[in-house]
Amino acid sequence: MNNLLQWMERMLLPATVRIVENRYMQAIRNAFIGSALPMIIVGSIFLIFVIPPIPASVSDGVLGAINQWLIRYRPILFIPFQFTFGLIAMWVGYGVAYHLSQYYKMDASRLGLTSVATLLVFCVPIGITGDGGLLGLEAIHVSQFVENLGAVGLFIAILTGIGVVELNRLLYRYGFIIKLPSSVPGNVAKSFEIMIPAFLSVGIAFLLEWWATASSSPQPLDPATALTMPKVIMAKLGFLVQASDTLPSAVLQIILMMLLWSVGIHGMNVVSSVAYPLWQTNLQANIASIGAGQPATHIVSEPFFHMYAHLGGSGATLPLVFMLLWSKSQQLKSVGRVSLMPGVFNINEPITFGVPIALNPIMVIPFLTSPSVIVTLNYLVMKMGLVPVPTLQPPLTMPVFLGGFLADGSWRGAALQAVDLLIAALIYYPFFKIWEKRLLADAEGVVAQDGDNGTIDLHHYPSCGTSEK
Amino acid sequence: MAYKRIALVCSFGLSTSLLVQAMERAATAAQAKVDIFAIGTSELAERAETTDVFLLAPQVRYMRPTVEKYGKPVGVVDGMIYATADGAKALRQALSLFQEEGMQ
Repeated sequence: MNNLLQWMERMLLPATVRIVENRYMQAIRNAFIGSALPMIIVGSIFLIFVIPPIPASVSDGVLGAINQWLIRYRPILFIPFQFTFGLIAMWVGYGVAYHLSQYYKMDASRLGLTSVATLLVFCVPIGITGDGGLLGLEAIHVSQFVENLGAVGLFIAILTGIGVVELNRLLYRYGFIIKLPSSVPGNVAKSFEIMIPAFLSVGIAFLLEWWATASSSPQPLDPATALTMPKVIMAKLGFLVQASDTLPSAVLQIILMMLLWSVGIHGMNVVSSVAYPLWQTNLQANIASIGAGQPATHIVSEPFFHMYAHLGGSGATLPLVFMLLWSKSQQLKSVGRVSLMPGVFNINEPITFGVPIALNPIMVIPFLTSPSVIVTLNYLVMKMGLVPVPTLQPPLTMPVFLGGFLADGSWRGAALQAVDLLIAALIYYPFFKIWEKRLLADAEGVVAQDGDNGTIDLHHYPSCGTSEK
Repeated sequence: MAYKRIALVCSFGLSTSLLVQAMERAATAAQAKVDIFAIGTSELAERAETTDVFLLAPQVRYMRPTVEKYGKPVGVVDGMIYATADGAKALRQALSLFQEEGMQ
């Protein structure tokens, strides 16, 4: 088993390096985590006021009055959400170009803005209608335009971000860039350098959009039914989103995350670099359904993992913290003390590396099993409608129960977390006991001898010392 | 002598912030001229210029080849040091990386 884990590490580490080293994967992940995440969270907070955690069936008393008031004014109350989380494709389109340009050491902010401009062109159907009228901004409703910048536009946003930066790189390589003498201030010079790439990016997008609208929309063209590039691409790639929202996909994702964590690699970090666009598409589809007064049905999204599976951190280790706190082993007890506060906020690296769980053949078993069982159960109860699906993404540090309550706007979410915690506790306990027994046996044999008193003698490190010379 | 800037890298910069505090205490005790901060992996590119040494949390050690491209010394914190937030040992590792850098 020990050998197996070491073999896994040897296999998984290089594979992870290859995925993560891919500059596009890096740019996409950073776009979500670095650029879009604040807007996702802020939008989610506004969403609490639009979709409050009050059951829709309540129609009496104060809560009922609140419910009716919220439903009456929902289109207005939705606005702060629509211009934050609702524009996720715009933030991602900016972020992909920004982070990819940083990788190439190019002008990140101007290429980010060029990417946004290019993306916006893709969000308006362009063409000539059957009766000779024109499709332009005047012909369409603003909500049609904005819709393209939501989840439906994520794929095109990613492609645009990459395309704009790669086009800029090509133009640079072949010298199609306006270069000013070096005496010109940097900001002015950069503004000129971006002109040809920006002109070509927006121009190409304009022609592509015209072609996409003309070739894919129902004929004769009509403002109400004309298609845009985001919708055309989503129609082609929609099967990916559908496939991602199934039980096999959910189980596969959690097993992959936990296998990576079992050898001490940040599984959520790696899996999310592939899965984040799919999670967000599912989550936004839920919000759109609720906004339209229909039931939300998509299960596999970011909060499905962060709020309902990673209880206390990846591996559902929160119950283990309490076992550690009351452990007879001094080592485990001290790890428990360090882990309690981080654990409340779903951070569990002290446990993963302190117990340790990573590369530990005994503790890896519950570490893999509990989250897999939990994910399966959660998927099934949500599919059966016993617990609402997640409609909101709280920050990953949201403590248990509160997170479960907020993410689907129902006490059932918190109750599900309680059941999940109980399952994790039952699975972890026997393995914790075996590991504790082994540590206690080891401790008897060896008298602690570290010889390290924790002080640092700066004479060993002259380059960082304070000694005046 | 300029302050040495030590970046501790993890997924979001959350879990390393525990170790940062411990390292700061150790640095104060030893009067080491260091500036220690936690960053997430998505901030690597923009912080590379203003960092002198990178210490990777063990769970993001797969980023090592990526980080090495910035041309600064890179180390991976040992799992147990990381878990117990042993600031002195982590700081010692960072300082050793400077020394090795200086000798080359």
